[in-house]
Amino acid sequence: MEHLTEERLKALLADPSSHAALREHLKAPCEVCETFLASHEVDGLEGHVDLAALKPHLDAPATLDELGWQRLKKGMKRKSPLRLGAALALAAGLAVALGLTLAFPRVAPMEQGMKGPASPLHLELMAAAKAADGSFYRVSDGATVPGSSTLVFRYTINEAAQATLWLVREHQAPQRLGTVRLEPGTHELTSAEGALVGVSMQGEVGQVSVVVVPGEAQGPEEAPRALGRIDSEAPSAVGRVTVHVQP
Amino acid sequence: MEDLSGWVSKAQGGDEAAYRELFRACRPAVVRLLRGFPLDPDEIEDLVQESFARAFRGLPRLKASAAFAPWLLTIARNRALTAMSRKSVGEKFKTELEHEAPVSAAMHPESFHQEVDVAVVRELIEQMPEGSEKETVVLFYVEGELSAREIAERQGVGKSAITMRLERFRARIKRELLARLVRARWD
Repeated sequence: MEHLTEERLKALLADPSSHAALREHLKAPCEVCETFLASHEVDGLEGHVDLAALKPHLDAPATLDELGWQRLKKGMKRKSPLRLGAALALAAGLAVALGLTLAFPRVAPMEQGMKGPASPLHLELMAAAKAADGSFYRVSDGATVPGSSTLVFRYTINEAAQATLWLVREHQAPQRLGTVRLEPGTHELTSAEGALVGVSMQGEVGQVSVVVVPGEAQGPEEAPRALGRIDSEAPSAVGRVTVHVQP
Repeated sequence: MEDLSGWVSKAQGGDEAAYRELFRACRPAVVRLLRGFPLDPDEIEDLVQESFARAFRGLPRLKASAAFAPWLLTIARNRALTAMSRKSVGEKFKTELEHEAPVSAAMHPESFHQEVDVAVVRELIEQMPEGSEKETVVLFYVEGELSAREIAERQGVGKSAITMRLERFRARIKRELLARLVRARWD
């Protein structure tokens, strides 16, 4: 019996005539194929699945959640209407125009303690990379990027916080890059002066993570404690993007 | 279903009242989707906000107004999966950081759209053997009042177990729709 695999699914969608037996097989329940589908997206179909399941909730008369609508409107107005790529390109353009460097200064660690904000914080970090032609493209967590890349970031957080930016290389002690101020909502990661923060991948090889940890970590001895939060009591309060750098 | 397409077109033209109508009409479905995940009520409200904000910002890119509802639901699902992975509840939940819904949601044959009907789901529910899995699906999708957390409390199981049951049922719907999609393309 032929069950779904990634290759067969691709082939079936590209040319339904190519797998007649599988086409027939899918008409009846199959635990193997359904287990496969539970963990594999079918491009363009996912929303239709939820729509079919939730259609009664779209059909039913709905009253306006006035509070939610006002909150949404406020949030939409606060956020720049520019899309990420455009916003980053603009910021990068400004940085270049002003003669600023995109690379975030890698400052030396200091020797003080760490003051963390009150939990629970919810923080997400997203990345884009600047290509050789100057354009920006989105970088997914776990993506491979060339060593010539400079990563820039966008974050979402539910309340204001000071945070520390760390560079984590495989099998090495984390390197503190500096501190940033995070404002509630979704924003590009900028320095105190408002310049776009960029982390150059020049000279990096292999797995590299950029981690934003709320709180002002001052010394390298605090790195394990700060980064340990990823897997401890407040994992959602740490923003992290990991890339694989190709030399 | 209300005629969302008209509101989508107006919203794409910048009509604020149209955005409001889309929020009013679609919010219950988004909330229901999110309540299938073991999330706190506050988190669900935040994800509702995020989902609509992302969908509305992306509205100019939406090629077919009829694709709005599945597009919005995909965004909401991806936000929930991201939130779940952040909570480290389970490796089985995929993380697709900043995964926007594909605009290709509109690319299926028209005949496929017409087949997407609540009757498909009802039929699949009826085919399920009696037991806790079917009870979970009926409570969540048919009665549509309880969240995954509340169903878990009622049945005395972990809340992630409820989400997994709902995901299994969703995979069954997906298999059925995939079969129909392939048939529609074949025809």
